[in-house]
Amino acid sequence: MPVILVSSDNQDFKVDKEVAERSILIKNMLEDVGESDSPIPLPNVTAAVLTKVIEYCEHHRNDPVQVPEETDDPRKRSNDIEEWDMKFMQVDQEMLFEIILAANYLDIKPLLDVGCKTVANIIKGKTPEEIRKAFNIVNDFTPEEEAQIKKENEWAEDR
Amino acid sequence: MFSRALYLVSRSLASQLHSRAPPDRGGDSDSDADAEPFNTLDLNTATTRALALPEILERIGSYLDRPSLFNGLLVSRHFYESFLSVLWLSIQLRIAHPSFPRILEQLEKNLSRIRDLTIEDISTGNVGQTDSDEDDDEDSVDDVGGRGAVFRGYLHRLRSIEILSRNDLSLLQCLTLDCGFPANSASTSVHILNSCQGKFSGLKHLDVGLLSNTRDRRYIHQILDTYPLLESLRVVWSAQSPLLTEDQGPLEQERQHPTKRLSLRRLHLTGLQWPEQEFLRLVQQCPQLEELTIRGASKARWGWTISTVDRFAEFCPHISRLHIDPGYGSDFEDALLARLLETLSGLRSLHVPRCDLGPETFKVLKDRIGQMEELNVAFTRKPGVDGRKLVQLMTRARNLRYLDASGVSLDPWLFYVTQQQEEQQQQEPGQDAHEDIPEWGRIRPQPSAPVTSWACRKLEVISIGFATLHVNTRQCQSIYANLSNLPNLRRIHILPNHFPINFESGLAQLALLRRLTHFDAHSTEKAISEDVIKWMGTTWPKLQVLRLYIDGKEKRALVKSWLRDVGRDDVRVEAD
Repeated sequence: MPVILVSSDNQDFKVDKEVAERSILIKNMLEDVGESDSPIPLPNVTAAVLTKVIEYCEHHRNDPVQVPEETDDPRKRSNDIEEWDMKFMQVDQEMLFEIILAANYLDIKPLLDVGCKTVANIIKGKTPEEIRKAFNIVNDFTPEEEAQIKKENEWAEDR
Repeated sequence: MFSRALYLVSRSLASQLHSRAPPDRGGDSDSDADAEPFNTLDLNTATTRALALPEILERIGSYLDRPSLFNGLLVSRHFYESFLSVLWLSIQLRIAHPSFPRILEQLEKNLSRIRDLTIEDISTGNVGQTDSDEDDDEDSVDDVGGRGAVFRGYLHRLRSIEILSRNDLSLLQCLTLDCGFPANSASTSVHILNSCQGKFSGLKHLDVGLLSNTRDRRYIHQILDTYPLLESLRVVWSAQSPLLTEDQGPLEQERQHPTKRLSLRRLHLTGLQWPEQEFLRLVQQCPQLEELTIRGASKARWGWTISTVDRFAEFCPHISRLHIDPGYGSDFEDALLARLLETLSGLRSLHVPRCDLGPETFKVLKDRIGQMEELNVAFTRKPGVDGRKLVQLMTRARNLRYLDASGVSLDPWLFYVTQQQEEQQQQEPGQDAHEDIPEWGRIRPQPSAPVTSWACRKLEVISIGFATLHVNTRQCQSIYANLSNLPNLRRIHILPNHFPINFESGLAQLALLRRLTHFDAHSTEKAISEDVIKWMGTTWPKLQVLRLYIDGKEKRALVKSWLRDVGRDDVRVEAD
């Protein structure tokens, strides 16, 4: 049973219901709307990003649906990324964050997790200045504030 | 503060623009700033929009280790807020650790951020058991080791308990109390729980390791009363501590309607035995129990009957994971195991090491193995024929992910028979080479009976041992062949005495196991060659740990250097 998704730039995407329902947002919309065939507008997602999201959902269409309570336990979080997912995420940084935003909006937790793990891997091993450069962030601390933060949190520095 | 932020932003903008300006342009910075568009700091990029959302930044932070979080704190105020929450989400207080005072300073003001707290206290040991290497130096003036360390630990313990007991701890969800050293009467775990009585009102997970000063089972009921939202409880009693309070006997006034602990899903009790009445009294209160672990003391009398099992299944119909370890020399009969399997219809995971696994259990297992995901029958006390039955079970175990049959003497010929039967099915039945097969090995299923290879293709962890002292090359070929059919294997543990790990015996067949992370054959008592080590390093991309028979530090360094030669510095080499 196909479902039609419409991107913000008015491109139509025909996908199987099973694939579309990897997005909890879409799943809930479909349940509310019922038997109707009308296309689902996604005003926050452009065609380029939606293409990638659909590609992910197609590949993972048979994955078991994750139970929320298991994945929210911080101690059980694994940092592994599957090979296919790793290749899937080899995109430029803007697209990476577009995918994260889309996964967040569409409520596709596994995709959001993969995106966030990828960003975490970018951050690992970098100094604060390198992180700022990577993401174009302004340093809004005074040197005094920086020193105080370092002192208060030095217990975390090498554990 | 707002104006300071603006000042900083404009200063940083100006400096960026200055660096882009061509060197021959003069004039003041303002005109330069007007001329250049601000697209170097376009605030509408996906990067900026995503990182501006605290929930996204926190999620990213949850995948970072502490040092990375520390660096992230210094990036910007927004990062600081998000990462600080993540940093304090899960905290380990190691009371005896030299760095403890630094975290203690920050503890009180950040207590409300903590959801998962572990308190480790190994400072309750005797003098000379903490960070002192100078036990023999009795005249040491400075209190660096020995008594000094114990005293410091004592003070730290008091200080942390003081902080905990005067603050609101209702947001804490997980608490682990690991008092480490059991010998002392002043058990930190009990001290903390008593001092903070009722403070952890939101607690969902409690782990009390090494409860040392009470064997009173009523303590469990007390804990369950105090923390009604508890979903999982783990209590480990120390086997070594002197008994300071023994069981006070049955509870006063047997309650007509025992309290129901409706949230409790997981219960883990190690170190005490649970006679029938005590056990039933406890589980009757936990109708939603899904997971139960009981590890008894050695040589304990269980005294369970079939009726115990029936009533247990009636009280706890949702059990899906069961772990019963009666300890060495204790009794837990075959009939009881069989009954557990028959009555607990939702059972997916069964760990029964050191139990009397026998014919009755196997009969029931034959029907139930198809739905089992985990099976642990390690060191079961009736080996021999059960090995054959165990292997036959594997032909039906299509959902099994975890198998521990270590200590069960598997007849290696069973594997040989399985494979040979397959070959016979493909070719015409020819003359079997009988000369290598011992008498009892020739007893095999009729060729007409369908023989399938192991169905447990979901198997991820396998732990096996063999009956014979030496497993020869031909036996090994088929064992490796069977293992190579299990593409999801992540961990292999082999416990025989002489198990060949070389190419002649078919090791290369394991090249198919691309997900292997642990290879453990440490008791093989045969040194492994350089070729094999390098092959392992190159063939198994996800390999993390190699546990092998390696005599001496020099040999271990040599193995590490072979792995380094093939670019596998990351593999941990463990030896006995």
